[in-house]
Amino acid sequence: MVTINRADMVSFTATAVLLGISVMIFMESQQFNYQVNTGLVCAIFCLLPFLLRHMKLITLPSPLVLMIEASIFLHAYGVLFLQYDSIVVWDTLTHTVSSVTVAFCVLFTLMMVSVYDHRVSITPFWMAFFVFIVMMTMGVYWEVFELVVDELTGTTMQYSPWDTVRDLACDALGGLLVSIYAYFYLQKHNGEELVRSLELHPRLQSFIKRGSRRERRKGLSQRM
Amino acid sequence: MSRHLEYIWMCLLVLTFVVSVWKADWMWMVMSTLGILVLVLPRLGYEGLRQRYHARLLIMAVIPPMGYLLLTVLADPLAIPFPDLLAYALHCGGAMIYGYMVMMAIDQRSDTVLSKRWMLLLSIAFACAVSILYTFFKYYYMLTNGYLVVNEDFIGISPSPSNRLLMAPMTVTMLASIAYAFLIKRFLMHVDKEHLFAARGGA
Repeated sequence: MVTINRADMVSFTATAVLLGISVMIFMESQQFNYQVNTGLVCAIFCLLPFLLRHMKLITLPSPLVLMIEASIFLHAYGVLFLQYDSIVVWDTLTHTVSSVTVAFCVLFTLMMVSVYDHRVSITPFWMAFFVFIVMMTMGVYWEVFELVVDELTGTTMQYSPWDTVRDLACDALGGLLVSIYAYFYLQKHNGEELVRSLELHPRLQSFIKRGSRRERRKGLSQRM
Repeated sequence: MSRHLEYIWMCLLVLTFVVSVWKADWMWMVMSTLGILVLVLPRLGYEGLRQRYHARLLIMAVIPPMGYLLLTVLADPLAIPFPDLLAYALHCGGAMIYGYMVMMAIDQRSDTVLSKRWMLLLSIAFACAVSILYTFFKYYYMLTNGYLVVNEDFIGISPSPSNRLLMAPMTVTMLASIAYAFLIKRFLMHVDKEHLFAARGGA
């Protein structure tokens, strides 16, 4: 039996609001256009933290759940009410918030690897460096995704080269902020305690461990 | 063999640096500088031991600067198609292999321990981060050469051609880094992590 906490309530509310707005816009336009589709997809994504916990895959900390909800909601709200077109800084705001959220997800992932993979151990300084470069990689993948969608569907997710460069600068800023936070946090706290509190599913734990076991086996077979 | 490869690599890097300055190709200047730093890294003594890279790593490290120099010389006479995209792919190759060497140094010379798999994954991340730097240079080039770049330039005009031009380094890097990761994995499959750095004798 899964209990419903405050973070879940925020997820449900965000989903309900986005669904409601999407349905209203659908009723008005009578078609599944870019706005409606984005609203519906984002509404489903808002349920992701709850579903992950319900399926006992991972229990994300409440502050991270709230950040995920805020990132998705701000993006969907911007598309549904055309805030990206009317408010100049909307894109900068959503990209910075999203990049901080993604950088935290990267940090948690690397901390999990550091705890569960016995062949990997990362010190605070290099953890901060890795979070930054992996965050930048996410930025690259996202921008390429936007380009591909624009080319295939004729949308304008990328308004201009200036828009793209500004997005990348926001990604760098978000990555840098979380890197600095990670460095000081890991100086004072033991990351293992936090990772254990995430209650990662045993299968996912063994997925991370499997790589280290396979490499160890390979090393043994080479020596024999 | 490793010693000769090191000399060849060093000569190619210096030559690449000179050519990139001559062509005002700033990203290859950055890449050759990074290469020289990575080349010098094992020569800085570690626990009284001077080291050099494994020969297989050196072979891979030689290819990107050599490819760039060949491309510079032969692109026009042979009418090689898409020379820019090839240059981006070679640049990505350089960033990948030098990134891998940086991860090796982090693994050996700090308290951080990385498996070969994670060194490879993080070298992909390193290459992507370098491609962002390339994109910033590309933006500056577009801005100073009269291309349409800001939102107001595109009223009634599609931004796709400009976006394609700007995004080329990142798109090529995203695809090429996956291919390079596969090649590096295959090429270093039978080399143990401990043997990626080889001893060059006493200090």
